Amino acid sequence: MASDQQFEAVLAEYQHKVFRLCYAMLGDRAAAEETAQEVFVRIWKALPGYRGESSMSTWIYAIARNACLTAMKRRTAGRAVSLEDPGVRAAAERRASGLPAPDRRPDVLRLVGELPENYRQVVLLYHMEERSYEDVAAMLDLPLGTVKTWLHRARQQLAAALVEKQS
Amino acid sequence: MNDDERALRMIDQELDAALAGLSAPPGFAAAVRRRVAASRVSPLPEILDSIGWAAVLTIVSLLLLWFVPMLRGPWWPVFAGGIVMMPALFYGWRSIRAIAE
Repeated sequence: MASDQQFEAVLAEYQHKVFRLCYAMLGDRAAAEETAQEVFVRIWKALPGYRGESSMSTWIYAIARNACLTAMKRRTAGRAVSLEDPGVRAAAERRASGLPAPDRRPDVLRLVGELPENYRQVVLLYHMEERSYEDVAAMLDLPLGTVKTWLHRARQQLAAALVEKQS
Repeated sequence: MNDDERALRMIDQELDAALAGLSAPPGFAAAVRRRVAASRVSPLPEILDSIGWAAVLTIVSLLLLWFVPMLRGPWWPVFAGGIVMMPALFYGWRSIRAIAE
């Protein structure tokens, strides 16, 4: 079937880009993988109706951004936690015993995680896309100037935080 | 080189090392294909629905022929066939639309 072949070509070409976009927006690998898979199911369903009014990449990134926004809303809505959850119980026990949380990420990545959401997305994508402003702008549907400005501000904040941490 | 420049260089090095060219995990494409296969619409329920309705209407038309002697003229096969064909065509059209969506 022609649309199956077309879908295979889209999957081969965009799987890494869509995964990276989801990772930048959600900040979590497992959630990014789950959402990126959902993005491709949506693409498969919508592909027969794709008329080429926008470029394929613009269309795919729009689907991916919408799926990520839905995932973020779902995550915010389901933020109520149970004390029966093993992660929550472990955190509560650590707090009670005065132990610090285990450090799983390098300092810089943790500092990136503390940036405002828009800055964090731009910084992560910029480095994932091998420092291409154009790719970041296309994936987040932002003007090139905005990407450069946000990236500059984010880097200033990161540098200041790092200097403060080291001094 | 001042502290800020050193910090920026360190940021670039660490983020490039951690993120540059990050790929989807192995098995990602296979997982997508599995999910796509699971979400394909099966035409079977629509076909069974159509067969069921055709059977019901066949029985109704046979009962009508039995109880209404007036219908037992030379045109009764056309009458009975029409009753069976109309819902079959309707459900066939509905099935094609459902699959296309």
